[in-house]
Amino acid sequence: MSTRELTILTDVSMITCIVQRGKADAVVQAAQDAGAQGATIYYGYGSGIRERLGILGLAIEVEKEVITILVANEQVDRVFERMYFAAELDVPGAGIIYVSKLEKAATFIPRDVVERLGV
Amino acid sequence: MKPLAKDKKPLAEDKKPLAKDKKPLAEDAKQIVCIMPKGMGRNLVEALSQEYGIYDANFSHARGVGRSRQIQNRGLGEQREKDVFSVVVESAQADELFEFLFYKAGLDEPHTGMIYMQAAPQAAMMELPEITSP
Repeated sequence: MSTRELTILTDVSMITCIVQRGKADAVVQAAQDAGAQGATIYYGYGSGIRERLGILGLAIEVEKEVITILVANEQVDRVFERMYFAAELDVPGAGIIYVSKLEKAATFIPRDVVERLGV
Repeated sequence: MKPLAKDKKPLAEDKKPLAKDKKPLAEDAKQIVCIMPKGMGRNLVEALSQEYGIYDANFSHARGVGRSRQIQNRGLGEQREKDVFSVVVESAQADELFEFLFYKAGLDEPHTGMIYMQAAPQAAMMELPEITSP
């Protein structure tokens, strides 16, 4: 069903998390448990601690998964913290996570939800 | 014979190209990113070039994880292949392009994707050179 309506969402932030390949699913699951709706995952190549470890660096997966999740500003701290620990980012060299403020976003929003929220 | 690098004479200070002479810089640009079903990225790149003359759009592939109402009770997420489209535009044009891309990508349909815009405080806007016939 096409609504041909564009509802602009503000107060939205994007969380980007870069982890070793294979860890993304657990991080996304943690984010969803904390209230996030969805995620986008793509692959990348990363460098950093691996180059400093010498032969031990072979244990670090060079291929990375980059996870982006859009969440409401009021949820961002909770989702960020869950993702941080699910990705084990308290371990040095495990990856990075950051938040970007978005100016606006838009997606399909069912009519009944729009009417209920009065936007 | 190619001259060695050490034989190159440094350019005079007034002849050194400045970065801003090479490409026009925008100080208040916006980045628009569109996450949509696989196969739509090429359509958006072509639509932007044909209708707005913007040629520096890119897209890559990703997988999207969502919540499917049918299977969420079993703890499974819904996974689909996605195209992630990205373009940096001048702020004066940003709102118009945001709306154009929203409808062009079919994001007013359920389970398609989403679009967002964020500030790009500094950006080099790409312009194609004029091609003169020989």
